[in-house]
Amino acid sequence: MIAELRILPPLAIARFGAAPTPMDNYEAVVDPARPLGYRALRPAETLEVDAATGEIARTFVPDRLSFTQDGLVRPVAPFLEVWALTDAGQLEPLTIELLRGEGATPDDVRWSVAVANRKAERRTHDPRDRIAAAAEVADHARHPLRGTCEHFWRGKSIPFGHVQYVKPTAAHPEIRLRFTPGAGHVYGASRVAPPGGPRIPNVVDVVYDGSRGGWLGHVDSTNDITVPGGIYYGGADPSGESRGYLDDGCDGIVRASVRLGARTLTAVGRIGAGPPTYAPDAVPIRSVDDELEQALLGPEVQPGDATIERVEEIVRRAFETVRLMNAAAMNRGGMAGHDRAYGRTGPIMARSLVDDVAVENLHQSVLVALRSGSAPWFADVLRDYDEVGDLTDRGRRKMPAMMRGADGLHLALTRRQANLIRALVRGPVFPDADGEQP
Amino acid sequence: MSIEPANLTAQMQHRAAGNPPSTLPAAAISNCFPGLEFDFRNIWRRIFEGIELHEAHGLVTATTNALSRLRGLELVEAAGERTLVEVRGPTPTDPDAVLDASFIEWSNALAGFLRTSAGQAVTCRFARPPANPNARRDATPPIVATAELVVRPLFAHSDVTDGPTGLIDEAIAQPGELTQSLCSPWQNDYRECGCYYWAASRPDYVNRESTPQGPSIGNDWMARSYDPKVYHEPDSGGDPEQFSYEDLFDDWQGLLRFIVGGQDSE
Amino acid sequence: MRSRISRHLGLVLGSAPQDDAALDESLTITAPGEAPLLPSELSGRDYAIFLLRLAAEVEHALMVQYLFTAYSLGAPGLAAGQQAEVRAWQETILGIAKEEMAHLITVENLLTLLSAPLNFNREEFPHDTVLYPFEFKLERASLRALAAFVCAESPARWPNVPEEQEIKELARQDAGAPVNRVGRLYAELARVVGDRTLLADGDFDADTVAFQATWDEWGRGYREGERGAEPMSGFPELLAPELLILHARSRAEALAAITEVGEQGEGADLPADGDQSHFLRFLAIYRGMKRLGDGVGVRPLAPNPTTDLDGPDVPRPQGPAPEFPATAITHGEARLWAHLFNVRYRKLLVNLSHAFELADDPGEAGRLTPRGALIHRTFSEMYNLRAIAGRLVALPVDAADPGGPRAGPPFQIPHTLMLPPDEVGRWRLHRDVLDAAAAIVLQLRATGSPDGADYLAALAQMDAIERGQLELLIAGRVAARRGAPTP
Repeated sequence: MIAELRILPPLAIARFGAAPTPMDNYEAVVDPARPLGYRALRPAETLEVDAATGEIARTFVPDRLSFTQDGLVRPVAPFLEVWALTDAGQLEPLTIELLRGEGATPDDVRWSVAVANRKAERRTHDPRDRIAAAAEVADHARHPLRGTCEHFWRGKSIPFGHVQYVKPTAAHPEIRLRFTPGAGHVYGASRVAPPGGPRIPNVVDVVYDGSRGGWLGHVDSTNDITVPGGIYYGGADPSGESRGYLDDGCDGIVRASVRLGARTLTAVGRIGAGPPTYAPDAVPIRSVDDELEQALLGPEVQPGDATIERVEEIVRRAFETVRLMNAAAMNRGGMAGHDRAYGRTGPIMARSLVDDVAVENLHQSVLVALRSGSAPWFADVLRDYDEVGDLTDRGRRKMPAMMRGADGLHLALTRRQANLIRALVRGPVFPDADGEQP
Repeated sequence: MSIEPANLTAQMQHRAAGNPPSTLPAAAISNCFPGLEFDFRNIWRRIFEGIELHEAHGLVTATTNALSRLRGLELVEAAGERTLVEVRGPTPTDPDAVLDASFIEWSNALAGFLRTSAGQAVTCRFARPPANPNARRDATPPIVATAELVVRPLFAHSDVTDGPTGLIDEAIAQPGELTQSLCSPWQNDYRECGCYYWAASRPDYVNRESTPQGPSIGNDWMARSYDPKVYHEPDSGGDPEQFSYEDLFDDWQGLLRFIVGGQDSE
Repeated sequence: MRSRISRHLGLVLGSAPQDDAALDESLTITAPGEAPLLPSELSGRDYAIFLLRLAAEVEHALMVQYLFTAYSLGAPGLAAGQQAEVRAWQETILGIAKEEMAHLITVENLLTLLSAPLNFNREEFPHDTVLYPFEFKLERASLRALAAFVCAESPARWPNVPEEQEIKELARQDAGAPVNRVGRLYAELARVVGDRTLLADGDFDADTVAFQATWDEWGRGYREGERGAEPMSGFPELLAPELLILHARSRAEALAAITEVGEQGEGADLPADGDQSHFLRFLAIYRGMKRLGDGVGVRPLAPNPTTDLDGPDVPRPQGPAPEFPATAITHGEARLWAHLFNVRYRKLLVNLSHAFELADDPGEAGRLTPRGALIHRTFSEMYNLRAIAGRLVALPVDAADPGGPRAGPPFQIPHTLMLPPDEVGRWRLHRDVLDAAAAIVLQLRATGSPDGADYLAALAQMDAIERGQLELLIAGRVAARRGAPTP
């Protein structure tokens, strides 16, 4: 018997692109023979959904990976799976067979999707600036997510992509939905009804009626403006007035409901659409996953949580960011420039140390040493979460260096990440004779 | 295939069949100022029942009627954890002077009690915002209000397991709120930050190669031309050698290059 | 080799260990109006250089011996509470070793300031002068070894330490002779450097500062002392090391550096900022081990491990057999790791000494020298030494006795520490060292041992990357020498 349904992953990220074929699946793996190299991107099993039938037409492993198609970016279109918590006390994928055990079929599944883009509303505080889209899905057709807004010109909308309930088959009996995001286009605003005005460059369509809504011409001025403020397109106009530009990014909620006799079970998940990962073999040093893990498990680590592998992954991610930035230039600008707000000028590091080859060597050597199984030693150079405002020379040089945190100050790791490292620092310097870290 | 219902990290990190790794939270930057995929600071706005906070600092932006006295104040302490830190650094006369105070990000500020106090009331202390927003702040401003506020669980509750699931609860953020404070349009963020903490999504320095002089040469990712290898400083949309805002709006797909192994890819 | 050094010292200081107080007097004896005492054949400036070169060796030797002793701690099998205490001793000694490294760098800065040859060697100096604490030896932690460290770092007059005589006696047993305090050397240095009749103001060359090392480059986020004592991030109960990497442009700054470095060793009182001297830190560890039991938590490392099957690399002087004979590492895998250790130790010293040859010249806008890379790679080799030591302490020293004493890091000095006179030669030297390492790594990987295999794969890749960079540097320098445009 099914006790509960969940959508996995509970937060799925889609990424823009106008190419007709979504991005193929791949793995980003560390090659054990080349542990200092980039993560190797290896093609992985990809599901091809038939647009018309909604069935998985085939699964295949592509010969090679291509992030673009005919000059267009291939969108990343995630699948959301429904999982069932059964009497066995385990989560398992919800399938035709599990449904059958409950006297139900895939036709008893209903999806509802609600997404929105509230970027204009966040600034104008006018709910009529909210761009929202919804879909109720009971079949396997593509359901467009048409973003509409009270302040749009009549008949205008922003396409946020579409969702499709993948039709379960004997070969692929699982219950899943696919979210394909918008193309990543920019949309414009005008005070006279399009196409009355001159064509506005940069935008694929003029949707916003600036004669009724305040987004066109908006200037951040309230005490609750975004931080940083003014992060909308104002063109070259020094007034900072918004040109009323909008995009097809959104986030929202997906709901799957299944009628099982007298019961209706519902699972909820979240989706979001954002820009591509332009360096897909690199992982951010501090990711949404790290925030969620800290919120879930707390900042303190339990014995056994802290492993050399976890610490190596943190260092590897730092390395992946470092080698895609110009450390010498960032030492002059970047965070060094932001510190000027507090009266600190000048570079962060000694000039000689930020030669990018040298910086790369340094991070590599830390990875090499960790591979020996000996404990990390660099806790003292980590920036604590409450040291983000330490702009002394020593404070500015702590790790991660030359990066910015959510508060606009120098980046600190999550407290949990830092504690993972510290727990190992406190542990034995050398693994025991058998090579195991206790 | 099965997952322990209590293993929430496994659920959050679950790679659904066919999903590339870029669909996972681990691929999304969170040291968000404001971010790219999400402004993840938004998940903290409703973390205390009865009030709404600014995503980036202590301002109480909305309250229930019962707590209206808190509106417009700033949360400076919760469950004994301070949300302001001193900004310190040298001045001409003092090598380690207090320069200012700043709110620290909610994620780390609240982490100490978030999990252990979910569903329970904690003591929150509030101060008045500085009259002059440009004036130097005090890290320990006078407390003008105190309230016992219940910590709203960040994660949805499972009645079956009587514990959290891996889902950010619906009460925490409505559709559109996780992205509402990002750039509009998103391309702006590729142009204006000047600090590359998100190199995984937005590389800065690519096609690097060592030189006989020691340091490397390479391309500025946002350069119009990759030949010769020149790094353009500062990063600026006004530099004719670099992509402008308008270039990105018009043709970001044609202009921006995927970087694999540090080199151009397609 | 010894006589060329000690013949200078005997005249000033006497060669036989004497009563401490009498020795301290002998260092400062000059009758009013008399010329300060100098060793024959040496000028004042020369004598200062002589003492600084000796100080460099002492700091280098202490650092290495402290590291060895620290690595010997942490034997598995202790109760959790004891394990934590022993781990804290280990971290304390590692912290002191880091501070000795900083002392060494400061001393090299002072040599640079005097336009003198630097000294990264360790075995040029005699061990029987009163300015050298004790004969160099690598030994695992014990009450005797700790007693010797306490004495070496002690002030002239001990504060009220009830165990003073007991510690001095144990130290004497450990060293085979009374242990001299390092503070005496710094006192003599301060006397000479502070004396205008011995060194002229012009001997302190402020123009050398671009070649000197700075905390900005070498401090690695360790504290510089700007905020007083701070806890270690990973060990809140311990104070974080304070790296005294001091550069100097004048006599006054040189004297200040000498005083600070001396005080960090022998400070007998708790200074106002709460920092603890090496003396007090070693004393606390001594007392801790006495409470837990001599040798508790110590790995059974063989003394003075060496890859030399015939004994020590450097001929010993005539005289009674040393109490700590060298132990040849005969276990095959351990020998390979020991060779790799020695090569990485050499690489560390080559990187460090080469970094002093390249100026940090702010005049060269936008043009960086590879000095930063050499600094990072110096640290890189410290990590490698630690990693390889971890393998050595787990392996038997003797092929015939697999359950017997363990090997340990040999810290053998390379055949030469002279740097070639030009950049081409220096980068070729780096390449030679890498090639030597690569050959050993290949042999180690061929043993098929799973322990350390991941490390060796990573090390091999890092070295290959560095080698590629070296080839470019060499080609560039060769081309520049020929006047050709660099490729």
